[in-house]
Amino acid sequence: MRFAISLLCLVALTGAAGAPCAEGRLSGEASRQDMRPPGAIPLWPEGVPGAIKDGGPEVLADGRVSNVHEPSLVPFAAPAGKRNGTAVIICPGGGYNRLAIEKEGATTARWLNSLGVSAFILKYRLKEYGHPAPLRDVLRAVRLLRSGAPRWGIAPDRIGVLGFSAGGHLAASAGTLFDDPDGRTGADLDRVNARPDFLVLVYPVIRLIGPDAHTGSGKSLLGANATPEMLERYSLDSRVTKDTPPAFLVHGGTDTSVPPENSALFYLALRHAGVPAELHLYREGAHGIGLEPNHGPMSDWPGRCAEWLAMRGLL
Amino acid sequence: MRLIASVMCALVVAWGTATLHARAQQPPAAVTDRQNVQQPAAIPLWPEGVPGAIKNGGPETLDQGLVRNVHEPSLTPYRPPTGRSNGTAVIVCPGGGYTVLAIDKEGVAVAKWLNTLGISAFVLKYRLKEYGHPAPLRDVLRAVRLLRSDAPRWGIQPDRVGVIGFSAGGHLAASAATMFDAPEGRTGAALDAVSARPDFAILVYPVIVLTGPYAHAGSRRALLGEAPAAELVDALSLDTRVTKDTPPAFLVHGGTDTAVPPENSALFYLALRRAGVAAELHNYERGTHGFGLQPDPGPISGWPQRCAEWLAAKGLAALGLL
Repeated sequence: MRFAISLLCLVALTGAAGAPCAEGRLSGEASRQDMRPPGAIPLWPEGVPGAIKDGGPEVLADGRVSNVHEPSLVPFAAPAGKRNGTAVIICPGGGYNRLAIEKEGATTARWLNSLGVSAFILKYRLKEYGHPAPLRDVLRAVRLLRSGAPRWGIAPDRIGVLGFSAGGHLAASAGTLFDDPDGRTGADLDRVNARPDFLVLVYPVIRLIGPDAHTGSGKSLLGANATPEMLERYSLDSRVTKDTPPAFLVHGGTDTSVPPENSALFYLALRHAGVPAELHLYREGAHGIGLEPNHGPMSDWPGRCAEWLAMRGLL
Repeated sequence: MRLIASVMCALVVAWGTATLHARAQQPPAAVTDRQNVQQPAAIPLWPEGVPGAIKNGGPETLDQGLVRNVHEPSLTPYRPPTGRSNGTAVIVCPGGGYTVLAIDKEGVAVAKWLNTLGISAFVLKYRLKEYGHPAPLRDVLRAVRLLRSDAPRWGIQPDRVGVIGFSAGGHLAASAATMFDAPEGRTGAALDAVSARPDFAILVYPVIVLTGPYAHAGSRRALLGEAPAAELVDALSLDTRVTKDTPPAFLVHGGTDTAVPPENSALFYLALRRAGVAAELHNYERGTHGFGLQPDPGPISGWPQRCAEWLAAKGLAALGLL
């Protein structure tokens, strides 16, 4: 544990530059020169496991990040007077090809901050790596925050993961595969519990095979030649147990990219395992609306989510 | 018709007294109350005679907001204030396990709420365990046919006639949505020629399946008897009856409902999706059974607002009317 703490200090020194709680910046001129936004916390200060050499630079274009080789957390601390100790790791979507870091990242972080929740945008590795790199990244993010909770002004037992689309698949992976051997790297931090305390899944990819599957995510995560067994193994409704954390799910009925059956099936699996869950399936709501207004009743999903968080005593 | 009217008058007086008493205990907040002080007249569903009527079935009773022993099924209209009607009509099916009708909290209260949205509401008194299947189905389909065939009289549009149902009343509403063309819904009356398909369905903690781990055994017994044939049980497990012609539906269910598990709503939703029917579902983490319009504290208390938003998005209601 002590080693873990000193590791954390190292993390803070390398990444945080003395202002770890300052709002991270993700776009604009600065990012073109320095791909790591100020305040970003590298997930793997000891070296990224399985790093690809000469992978080329990370790219940010139109609010989307691609070619991630240095996974990190970008902290958005809740205002000091408002902070309630709850932390949420945000997994932007993008089919495991890229990250919608603006629309599904920064906007979400600012909304969470308005609720007093500290937010951490996760930049996770993508198709260049495939499984298990994204899983390792998200689990490491939970372990980092939990082990360094006081430093971030958060409670170690109030760490949630929120994900959109493929980021929802990653969040649901954290919720179901937190103890999976694939998620460990031999690091000291492996001993820290990686189970999220709650999940928020927004138009999540759950199935990678079958009629409701998002095949693009399956391909990017598991390769074009993945066997049906592999695809089923990471169709996460099949991995739910009684230890899966409580979840809030929201999905739109006009989502032609990731059908809402993904959320419904995960909900049914949670119910089957006796895990508390809440499911909002709107009649209308296309894929990728993020927190945009003017998409009808579904645009109010953050209100539903805030009510759920409040009910669970997290606000 | 005159004879029927006088029969209905007697009925209305009988339970009107109790309803007025119940209303007196409610806060006098709603503006509409003043206009509805007089108990509206119930419309008998079967003026030509109730099909399969049981003779000497004894009197209908109303006790503590629960109606029992229904032999004269009827619709009781509740109209929006003058000038506020938007032409949408909703038939309200109270729950009660096909044994009783929770006529106040899942009937009258719901009707008055719908009135605030500009919707004309009609509380359905349908036949129960004394009859069993297909009497409740016939009653609800007849209600749709009656309203649709005589829409101008009620100031409603014949293509905006929906059903809302709670618990077993949700089973009945979902039956209307899936079995509107079923032969057992017809009686040989001239009105059989009128379409009985609701234009939309609102299902609140509905009973959907009558078999398997999520079944509501009480509703099955009351509807189908002690030892029904497996085929009949399957046929009235309504997720099996959804087709592309099933109307769009809105579903809400609480996760701590131990009487009717929320899987009922989720399975119906999935069946609607499979058939290509537009649907919306709100399954809250917490919410027990039978809350009506006064839910358990917490997020689920917002369900009427979710429903109003859904109706408004479909052009069936106006928000912020009153």
